[in-house]
Amino acid sequence: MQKRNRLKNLILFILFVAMVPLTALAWLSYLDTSSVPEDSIFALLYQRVTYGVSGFEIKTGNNPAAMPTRIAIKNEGITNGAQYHEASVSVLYEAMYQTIGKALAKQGEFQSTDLADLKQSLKLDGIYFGYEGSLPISLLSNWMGQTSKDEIATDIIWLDENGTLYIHTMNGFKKKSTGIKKWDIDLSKLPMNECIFAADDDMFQKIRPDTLIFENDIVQAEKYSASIPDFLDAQNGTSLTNLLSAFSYDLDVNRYEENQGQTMVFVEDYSTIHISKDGTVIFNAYANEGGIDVSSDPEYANELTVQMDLAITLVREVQNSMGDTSQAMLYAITQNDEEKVFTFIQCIGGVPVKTETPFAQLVIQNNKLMEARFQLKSFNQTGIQTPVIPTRQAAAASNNELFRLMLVYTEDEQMNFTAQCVYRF
Amino acid sequence: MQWGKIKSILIAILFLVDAFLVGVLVVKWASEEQREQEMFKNLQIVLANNNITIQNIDLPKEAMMPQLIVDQSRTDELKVAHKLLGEDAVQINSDNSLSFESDLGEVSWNDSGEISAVITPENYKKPDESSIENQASSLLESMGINQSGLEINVNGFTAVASFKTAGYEVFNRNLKIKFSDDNISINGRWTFSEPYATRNNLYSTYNPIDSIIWFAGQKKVNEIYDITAGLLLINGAGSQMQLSPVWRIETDNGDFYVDPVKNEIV
Repeated sequence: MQKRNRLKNLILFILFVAMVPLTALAWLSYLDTSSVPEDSIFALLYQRVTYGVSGFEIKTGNNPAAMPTRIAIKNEGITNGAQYHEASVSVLYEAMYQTIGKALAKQGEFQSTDLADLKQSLKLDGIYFGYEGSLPISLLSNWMGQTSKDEIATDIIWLDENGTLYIHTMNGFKKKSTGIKKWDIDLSKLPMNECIFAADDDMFQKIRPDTLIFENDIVQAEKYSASIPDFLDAQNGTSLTNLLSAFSYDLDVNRYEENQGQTMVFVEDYSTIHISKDGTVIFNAYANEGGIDVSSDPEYANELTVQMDLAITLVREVQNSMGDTSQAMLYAITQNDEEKVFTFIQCIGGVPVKTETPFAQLVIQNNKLMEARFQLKSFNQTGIQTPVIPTRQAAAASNNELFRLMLVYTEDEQMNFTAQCVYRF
Repeated sequence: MQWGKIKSILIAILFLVDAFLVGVLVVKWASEEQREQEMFKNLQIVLANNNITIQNIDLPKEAMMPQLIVDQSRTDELKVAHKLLGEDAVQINSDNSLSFESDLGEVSWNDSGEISAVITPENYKKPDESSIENQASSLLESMGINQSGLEINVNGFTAVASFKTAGYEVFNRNLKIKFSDDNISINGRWTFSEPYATRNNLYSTYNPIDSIIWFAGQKKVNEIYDITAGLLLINGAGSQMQLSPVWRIETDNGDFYVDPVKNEIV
């Protein structure tokens, strides 16, 4: 009797245990994983089980939307650096961003200072980052893995050996003490060339003192031709699909022609996309419902870093839809009580491209992307090298100490882009 | 209380539940098998209409592949260059690439993450064919390339190193290491950073039959040997590269990579 009872207990146990995986398998076999919300626990579990923990990561919020175009480090009085060369600047940035990030995130108010003070400081050892646009410190420090609430925008960062941090704002130069006086950076293997700051040589007193002047300067640069992507070409429907999907539009939404067939307008319930043959793409939401959500979590949607993440992701998706491999770089953020406008420029190999209208402008209102304007073009190498005035000559010829030198691609009438050395505030 | 009877009833109920669940799974499996066979037959008809034959291959099931991005790491590329060329390596100025040279040779990484290197290590002697795998493995380790899951395939005096991402082969990411009489050449494309996805664009499901049917319409081949899901490294905006899901279709006219999203041959 007892033996029979044990047998029943065993069978009960086996049947019960078997029921659990069978139920799970039956449920999973009818589940369409593509319809599972991407943020759900099941989706995360599926991803982890299917792809493994080390397969890839999910990353948001710290994607740099702008990189310096000029970086230098002065050590024991000798300055080395790189400028307008994406590969070299990128390596220098990797080696130095943590030090600069910590300096930016240090507590303390910036005090106004003048050019003479910066000039003196530049004669000390230190680290220099130069950006093309003026960007908020909160964003720059976030991209460098640090946190700062400072919204002051700057286009240069100079940290000297006394721990004083200098920035350049629309209202002049400012500085603050950070206490960061030492950094451990192995300079021996970095791709740098010897250079000086204009402040180091009396010959260059009529140019902004943070201008970098190289011995081995760029003396010639590749000439590029530009082509406009034709999203309306019937043979090119794939790019159009990707472009529309960047704005969460399907290919089969309602559409009509404007401008004698030069513009196609795609219409959703509360928004439109105008795509023109001249490379103009305009997304416009005319009601809040048509805007693209900055974040599914309203708590974070108002944060600049999260808004920035949406902006740069959208810009890169639009670039990828046309196979554009140029670097889109955040140039400016303007804001008032109602909206923030993010302006992007394009760079070729680390050299900014100057155009009449910005490459991209995105407008965020009420935590939604309400407008996006793109002037799309892609650049093709021509194999022709054009001469560039060496910075040494251009710096010596300058007559305004508030201007610095900048390398920039400018457009001619045939839509060719050649590199030029120009003065810039 | 008659526990014996209660247990018997519970056993009967659990047995019925388990049997029902097994039945559900068997029916599901059988219907999928039948559907696949029907689809395979239909596929053969479509292919026959395009004068294409297909070998008796096991068609892969739908593949769920992530849309991934990987950043080009210039710093890691620089480290590899220095490890190959030694501490004395000097930079050669060139457009958009990181190029170095030393007494040991030249190494250049271009802006697509492609390396082109020719080096002659000190006291270099061409190794035996039987030791190529070990030699390649040592060389990769000395370059700092030792990813988990690193695979090395050898063909004569050439070794090809690769590794998978998210469980899928990346078809155009590999390093070809060729041991010649006088030097070692290294060519190919490589990534160092961890791939990542954005929350909005994590993964999608791709059906191999859709891609084969589209590919058949292109009339580029007479026979299809195999089809495999994987990823292809494609230049993206700035320093980003995309790991784009593709089907590799092996045919009598070579391998073709079909992008299932854009329906185009990459």
